[in-house]
Amino acid sequence: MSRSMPMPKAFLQGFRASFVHAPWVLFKWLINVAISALCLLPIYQLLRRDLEHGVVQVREEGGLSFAYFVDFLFAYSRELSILDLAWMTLLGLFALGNLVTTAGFLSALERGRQAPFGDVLAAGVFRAIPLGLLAAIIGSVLFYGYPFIASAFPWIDWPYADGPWQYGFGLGLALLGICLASLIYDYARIFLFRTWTFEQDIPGPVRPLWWLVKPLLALTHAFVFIATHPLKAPALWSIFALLSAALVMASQRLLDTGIGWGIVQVLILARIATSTSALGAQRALTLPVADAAPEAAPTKEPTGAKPAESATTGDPLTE
Amino acid sequence: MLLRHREPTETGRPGTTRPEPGRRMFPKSVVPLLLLLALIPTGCSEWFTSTPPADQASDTTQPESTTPAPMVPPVAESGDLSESSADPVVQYDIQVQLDPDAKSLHGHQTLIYTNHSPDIIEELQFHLYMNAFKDQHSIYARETRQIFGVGLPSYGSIALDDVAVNGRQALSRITYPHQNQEGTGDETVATLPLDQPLFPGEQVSVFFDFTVKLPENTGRSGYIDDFFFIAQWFPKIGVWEPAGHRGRQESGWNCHPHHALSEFYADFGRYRITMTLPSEYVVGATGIKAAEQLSEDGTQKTLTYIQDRVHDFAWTAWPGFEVVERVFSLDEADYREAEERFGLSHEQAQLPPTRMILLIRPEHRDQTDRHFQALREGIKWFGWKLGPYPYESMTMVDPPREATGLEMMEYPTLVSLSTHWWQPEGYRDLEDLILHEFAHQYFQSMIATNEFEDPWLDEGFVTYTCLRALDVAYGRQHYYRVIKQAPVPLTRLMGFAAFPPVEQARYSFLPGKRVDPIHLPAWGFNSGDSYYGNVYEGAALTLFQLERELGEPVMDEVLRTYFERWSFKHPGIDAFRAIVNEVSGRDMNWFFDALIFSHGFIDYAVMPVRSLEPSEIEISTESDDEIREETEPEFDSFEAHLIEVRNLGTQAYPVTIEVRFTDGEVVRRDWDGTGSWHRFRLQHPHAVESVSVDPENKLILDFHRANNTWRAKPDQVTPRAVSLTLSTRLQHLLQILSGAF
Ligand SMILES: [Zn+2]
Repeated sequence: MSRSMPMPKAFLQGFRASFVHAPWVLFKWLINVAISALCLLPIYQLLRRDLEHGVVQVREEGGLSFAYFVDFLFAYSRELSILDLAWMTLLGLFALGNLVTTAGFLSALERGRQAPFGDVLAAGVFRAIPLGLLAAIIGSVLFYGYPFIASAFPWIDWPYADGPWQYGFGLGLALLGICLASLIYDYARIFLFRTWTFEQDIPGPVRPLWWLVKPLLALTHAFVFIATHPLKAPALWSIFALLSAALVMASQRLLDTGIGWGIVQVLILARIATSTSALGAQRALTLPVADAAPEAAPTKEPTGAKPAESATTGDPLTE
Repeated sequence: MLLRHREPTETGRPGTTRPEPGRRMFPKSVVPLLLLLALIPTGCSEWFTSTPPADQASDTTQPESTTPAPMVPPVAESGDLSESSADPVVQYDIQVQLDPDAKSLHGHQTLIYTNHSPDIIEELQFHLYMNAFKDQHSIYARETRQIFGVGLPSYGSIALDDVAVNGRQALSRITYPHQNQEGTGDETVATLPLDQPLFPGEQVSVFFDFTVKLPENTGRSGYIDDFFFIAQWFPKIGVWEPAGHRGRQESGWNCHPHHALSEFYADFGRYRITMTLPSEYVVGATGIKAAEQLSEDGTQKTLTYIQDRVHDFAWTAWPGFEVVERVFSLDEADYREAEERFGLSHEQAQLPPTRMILLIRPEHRDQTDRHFQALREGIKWFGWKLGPYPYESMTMVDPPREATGLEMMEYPTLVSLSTHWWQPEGYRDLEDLILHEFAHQYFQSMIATNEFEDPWLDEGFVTYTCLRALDVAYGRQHYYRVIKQAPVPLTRLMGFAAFPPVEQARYSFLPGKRVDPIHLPAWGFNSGDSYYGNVYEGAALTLFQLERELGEPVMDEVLRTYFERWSFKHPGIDAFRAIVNEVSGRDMNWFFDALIFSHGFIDYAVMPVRSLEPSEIEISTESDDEIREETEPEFDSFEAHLIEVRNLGTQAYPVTIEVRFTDGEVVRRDWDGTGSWHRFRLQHPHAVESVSVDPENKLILDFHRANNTWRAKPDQVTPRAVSLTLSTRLQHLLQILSGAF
């Protein structure tokens, strides 16, 4: 089995990737801004109808007035239930947009800085499908698996848990499950966006089919990698997870202090960059980064590769 | 609470009898991923609007012979059937043996019944509540199926092994009036004809030898494993109501069968209960323990509990309880509070000591103080607002987690609660529950309304007073949603400020599609949700509305007078209404007609003001009948302003309309609120600054309060600021979600 990249290096590679491939981060942010604006535009209109000439206390010490929103929700319950549909659609678009940008980002990592943006975008759009499939597999395992597990081991569901130990155990187990699923998902995404040598030999017409099988291969690959790197992989993943949790919490706190829109956006952008950095770092840990390791990106020219580095960042399955 | 919908929903399903606190809040049907927007309800989805099939509806009303007559004024205001005489109406003396393995009770009961009415009584009627669980033919089982779609999950019964009246055999004379001709059906009421009529002032002694088979974890009474909560367990005589009592036309027994949604009604009296059970069991019961004796081999013990002036007796037994007892007494801080917040002098604030007994599960030991603190707050609030708690003891029971069908129920001086080891400080579910159940000591245990026929007269008053007491003792709160038993402060997470407890009641009640008025018998409601919504929060909000109408001091005086006159008696709605009218010095019947006896919703809205140029005025005045107001023109160049208020709701409520002009002048007009709109013209040389309907914000039942005011100068800032706050929260949420894609 290969020696993987040292952790500090992987971190740097990750952050570097977010800067080098900044357009994808910005795309993610734009989607975020656009969808939230679209979601809330009708709410704004309703609020305006209510508040422009109405007098009611909406903001109180400690936040928005619950009493006002009780009225608001009932007064506009019909409008809001119609909006439910629109929001579903917008959320679908949001998911799709993010799949494309994530696929684009991972493709860019694979192909390196020099790859034409249009090519990477096209790859991203195409590869959003297998990425979505992978998300769906993991999601449905969680969704359908949980009740199944809970029925097999009812104490997991802690129906009668009544003490810190049972409770802590149940809660810890649930958290562990979520983290594990997320860890596997992250690494499976990375393996989904690596190219095996034999893929070159797959005839063109069959290739779309191959991309439907590949998520399963990527999942297996992720399991193998996590099993063979039981410390490094979770450690790297956890550090980024904690980092972004801290960012979210800090910004949530700041939100309540009424900071300006611009600062909020900087924070959101930072948090988005954290998740792309995490992907970049995890990729650096598992596969050579294209810019640094040309052999993983056969279509590309090496850009600033360090020979010593490529020796330590080999792909465990290809070595 | 959420709260509030306290007593088991009587679904008959173990585990579902406790409505999740706040069950009606934050409905499920929302865009699941938009947590931020999870506040958006679909309105009626939470309320069953289906009508029961006609045959079923008649099915449930058929057994009722005594229907309430709410609108008939009382012939006499005498509900006092117990207090004035040396002998109370009922004196129960019961020896009972609990067999924990067979899950059964065997009892010998002597009841001495005294006829305090002016009537000659020829038969007695008894409740045999446990027969509700006898088979799927009981009214209880049929209604449970109809309302909740499930039958009885477990069975129980009460069998009469022997009956004697004044020492003479009477078992063969027992009949079951709600049985059908085939001799099957409901056996929760038994009739016992007397061979000699009972004349006014006379007593009769009735002996019962009975066996109870307890049901498992359902219907407020029964067992689960080795935990027992025993209520509605003995043959209990109905209430003889003379003509005129609670608006009755004719004298007769008030002895309803056990219904799925209804609770109870009984006469006050003296209880002396002696129970024998294995010695390892820890017992809690109504009243005071007078004696305890171990059997010779030490395996069994016999306890005697006595209590005067109560109308029921319940008890619990479980080896797992820890018993903590404290004595309630007032300290200096309490007297200061009484003076500062309740305006009571040291003298007026005096309250008698009460033995506060807590039977708690060991794993909840750390919540002991919270239990006692909440009970203290209850004893103080109710003591100071209504009158001192008169009994010697008050026992709180913390049942095992699994006992979902046996928790959160009130009996005289004994209540069952429900808690969980994780009770964050700000989460006031436990306190709310304790205050709710303690409030029942006043509303129903002492002011003994008929829970069958007037369920809101206890649950509504309890919810109202409990929310007030909660507000005084604990202040504003957040809404916690219980997810996997973990209370999550949802409103705080979503950026809302803490709110007064009454807002939670508004949120639970106002969105419901109302199909029933508040004043209905328990079995008269369209659905379980309609019952809970109206009887609890609906009635409570209406009482808050009454408080706003009368003012808090008058409302307090109403409550105090009601308690003073009607404790240990059986008032109906007329008794309360008469006190409201008398104390307030107003005829408030319209209020009851509008909000208690009819249903609908209230929403007044101010329309944008039209200000007319002098040239337009001629045209508008000549044809408009609706222009009802016109001030004398005092200026040469005046403007006329058309003020319009609409009633967008279905109920009418008198309102005040306030018009403010830019020069500071304020004009007020009253409108009786009827009709769908009201328009008038004011002439004033300055522009209108704002128009408000209900300017003092008294209309707590108004569905949509933002449209109660119209101001001329638009405010662009607030809607934008609020949207921006929401938007950034949504952005964060989306951004976290984006990690999944
Ligand atoms: Zn209650």
